[in-house]
Amino acid sequence: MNTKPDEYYIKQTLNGNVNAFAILVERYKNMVYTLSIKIVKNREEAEEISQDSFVKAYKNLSSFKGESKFSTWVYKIAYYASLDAVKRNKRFSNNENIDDLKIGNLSEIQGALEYLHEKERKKVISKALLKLNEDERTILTLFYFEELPIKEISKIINLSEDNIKVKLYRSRKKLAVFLKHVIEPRTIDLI
Amino acid sequence: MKDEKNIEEFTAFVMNEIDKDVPSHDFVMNVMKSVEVENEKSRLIIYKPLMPKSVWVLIIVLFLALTVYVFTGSTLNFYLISTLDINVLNELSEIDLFKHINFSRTFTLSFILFSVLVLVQLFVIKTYFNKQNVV
Repeated sequence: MNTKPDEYYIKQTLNGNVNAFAILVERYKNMVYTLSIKIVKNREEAEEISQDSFVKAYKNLSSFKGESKFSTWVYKIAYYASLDAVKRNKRFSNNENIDDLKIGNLSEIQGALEYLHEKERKKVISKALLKLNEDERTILTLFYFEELPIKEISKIINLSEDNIKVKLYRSRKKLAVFLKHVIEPRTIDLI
Repeated sequence: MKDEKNIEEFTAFVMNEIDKDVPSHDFVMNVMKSVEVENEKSRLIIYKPLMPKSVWVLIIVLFLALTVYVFTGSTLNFYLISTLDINVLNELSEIDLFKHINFSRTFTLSFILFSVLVLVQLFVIKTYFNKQNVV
């Protein structure tokens, strides 16, 4: 089992043991890929971006000073590479204004979601998530999937901790609003 | 406050319903192949200085010789240097290339300002690209 800390494998890689880097890739590949796919919304593109991010990390490993966690550093590389791809293809998500929309009764929405078949439920939630903008999707992904603290997320996205907190709150609210309107269709078209 | 807690719990439920995305099974292998290519590239590219050391030595010797000559007049008694016709250098100093060229004050100031801005831009662009390469 490869249970040693990242620093050990980083040192090994820098000393010429390239295989040590494979352990780091194995350790963070899922999260880097998840982060990327949530931004670019395309499997092939996300796979390519994730691979490039790891290669970029390898090439610049000697400049990694360890001021942040290795994972934070790699996520940051993947985040910016994914944003670049979105920018290149001019596929930025629309910023829906949800200020005037009411969330309604959350337990009712949750109940309705639970009533759906598992596959259908996952599909509906994924679609609602994709309606958020790139930053909001990234914040939710890092916070809930990777369970990263606000401090680490702020380092990746390069925003202040307060800003991340506000965005996190807005993302949660938006997601709830979008899901509500899936349950009560025709108000916002998710398809 | 209660609303905030409710929405937090609701989001946790929703996010828990989504599966984590998984890359292809040969992902690590592909990354390591690219890493190998990078290693090969760095092995093949051998960085050579633009000027070999001997040229640098020659430049330094010439520069020093010229400096010594300028400050001490013709006190250089080295055999090789004494055979050179250094009067050419005196003649060179008499040539005033800019004798007939006059620059207005506005032009001079604009030129200096332009040069400074170019230097600032160089610095800004270099920093920008460095940031692009390494996050």
